[in-house]
Amino acid sequence: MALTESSRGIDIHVAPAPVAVRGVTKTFGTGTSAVSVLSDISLDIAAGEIVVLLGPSGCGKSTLLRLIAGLETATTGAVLVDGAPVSGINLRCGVVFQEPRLFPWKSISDNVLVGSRGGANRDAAAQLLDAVGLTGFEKHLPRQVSGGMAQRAALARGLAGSPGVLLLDEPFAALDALTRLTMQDLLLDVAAETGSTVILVTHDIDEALHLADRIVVLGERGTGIAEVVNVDHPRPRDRSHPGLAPLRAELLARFGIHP
Amino acid sequence: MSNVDTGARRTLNSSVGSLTSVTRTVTTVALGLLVPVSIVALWAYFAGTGEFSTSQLPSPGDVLWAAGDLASRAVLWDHIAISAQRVATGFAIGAAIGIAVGSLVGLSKIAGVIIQPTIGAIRAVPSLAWVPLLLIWLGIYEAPKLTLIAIGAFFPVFTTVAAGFRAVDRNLVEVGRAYGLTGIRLVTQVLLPAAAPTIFSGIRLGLAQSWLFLVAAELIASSKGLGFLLLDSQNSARTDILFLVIILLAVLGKLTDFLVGLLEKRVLRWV
Ligand SMILES: Nc1ncnc2c1ncn2[C@@H]1O[C@H](COP(=O)(O)OP(=O)(O)O)[C@@H](O)[C@H]1O
Ligand SMILES: [Mg+2]
Repeated sequence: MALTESSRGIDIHVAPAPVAVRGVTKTFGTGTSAVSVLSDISLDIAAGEIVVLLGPSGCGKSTLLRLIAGLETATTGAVLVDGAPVSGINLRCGVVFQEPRLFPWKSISDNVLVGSRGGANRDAAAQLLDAVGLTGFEKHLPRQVSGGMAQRAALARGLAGSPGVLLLDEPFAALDALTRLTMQDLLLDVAAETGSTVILVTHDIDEALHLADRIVVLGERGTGIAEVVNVDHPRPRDRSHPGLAPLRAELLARFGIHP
Repeated sequence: MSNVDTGARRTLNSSVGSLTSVTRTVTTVALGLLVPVSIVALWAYFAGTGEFSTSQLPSPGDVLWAAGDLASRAVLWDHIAISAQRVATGFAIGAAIGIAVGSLVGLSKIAGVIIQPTIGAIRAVPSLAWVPLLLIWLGIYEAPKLTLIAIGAFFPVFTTVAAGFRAVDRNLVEVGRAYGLTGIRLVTQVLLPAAAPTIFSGIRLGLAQSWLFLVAAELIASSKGLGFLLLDSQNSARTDILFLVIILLAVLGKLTDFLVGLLEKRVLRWV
């Protein structure tokens, strides 16, 4: 891929941060309408690790990610990023959502700069856009680029603040199959290049197997972590490598699908 | 990169694009003039049949002549200028207060809960019911007229601005928050641009209301302005001037809306 060549030599390295989730529970609402979404989640993520959160729809994956980003507050327990408890918006995290969520009134380049929180300049934005293959589209408006390109711009925005932790909530779910595969490899390249810790939510087992150092499987809503699966498979991974088949079968079985 | 998605979906205006856009504008204007021209033709036809007296239905020529006559005595311009000035001032005041209060109510839940019911109740009062009170409180000169026009401009602006801020995509606000924007910076950098298209439509509604209330204000007590001219021509049975004023109000209303539309296009280039 041409991408690795273009991003090579670009200085967007960050200080990767470890993440610790300590006995976190999250309940929405109070009284009779209270819904327990996460219960007693504990998880240690090493600096630079790629962890994939996998689970059925509605089990609380986004909620856990938002807790780490500081967009949500835990009912009990604590989240530590680089040893410091998260309270309020956590500026060491870069967040990428399922939708690009670019500001339609800003150019692609200015949208990327939003992620730098005023810290980076246009050159830095240009480097990031280069890293995600969007050179030449700096001045375009979000509505002038395709969904895949917008999501790549969102990824660049997520990286613009040199985040110690990159949080991605089903970032490729809305993309077509081919673009999705390209974006997965792009993410791996960028993660390798920057060294950032990556926590990614998905409900796509193949995506999890391709990306993860470790897959954290969440059970049904409110039941906590069901299983943690290490994916000790060398990179770059071959998607059809027979060595991944047993893991895939195991994960599918966990979701009630027997191949 | 990959060849999965290449190029922009829509490229920026090329010269070819702007050429076709010129022909498109010309076509749009021509089509828009179709009905007015037909109306004038029908009008000329009926006025020419001799069935109606001049005081019932003056011909387009009569109206043009009246315009020329008034213009030559330099009074037409005076009436137009004073009315335009009243609309501009009253609208500016009403729209400014509408934007301020609308933003407050749209941005702050608690402010909305406190203020909204009161404004809703005031709004339920037919606006012309304020006229006697305004005359008693503010006299008969400019103040009550400007106040009435401001009241007319305020409500549509207030309502749309408040609704515009409330309807801002929560997802975009969350992005702003996630990247460290809070308070006034969140408002100016995310909420305001996101609500801007709605705010503009409120401003245009408010402007239209301002012209409406101008006529009401000038019909009540004045010695100048298009509303006064309307009343004066009725009293002197000058139907030609009546027609002239109605046409002028239509043209002025459309013109000011067009100007705001131009501003809107400039500001909201990204839409
Ligand atoms: N702000 C909220 N208020 C109330 N309930 C919420 C809120 N956010 C999420 N939930 C509920 O929490 C559950 C988990 O949501 P989410 O974390 O988005 O799931 P996932 O991302 O795994 O699909 C869902 O049942 C959802 O309805
Ligand atoms: Mg989700």
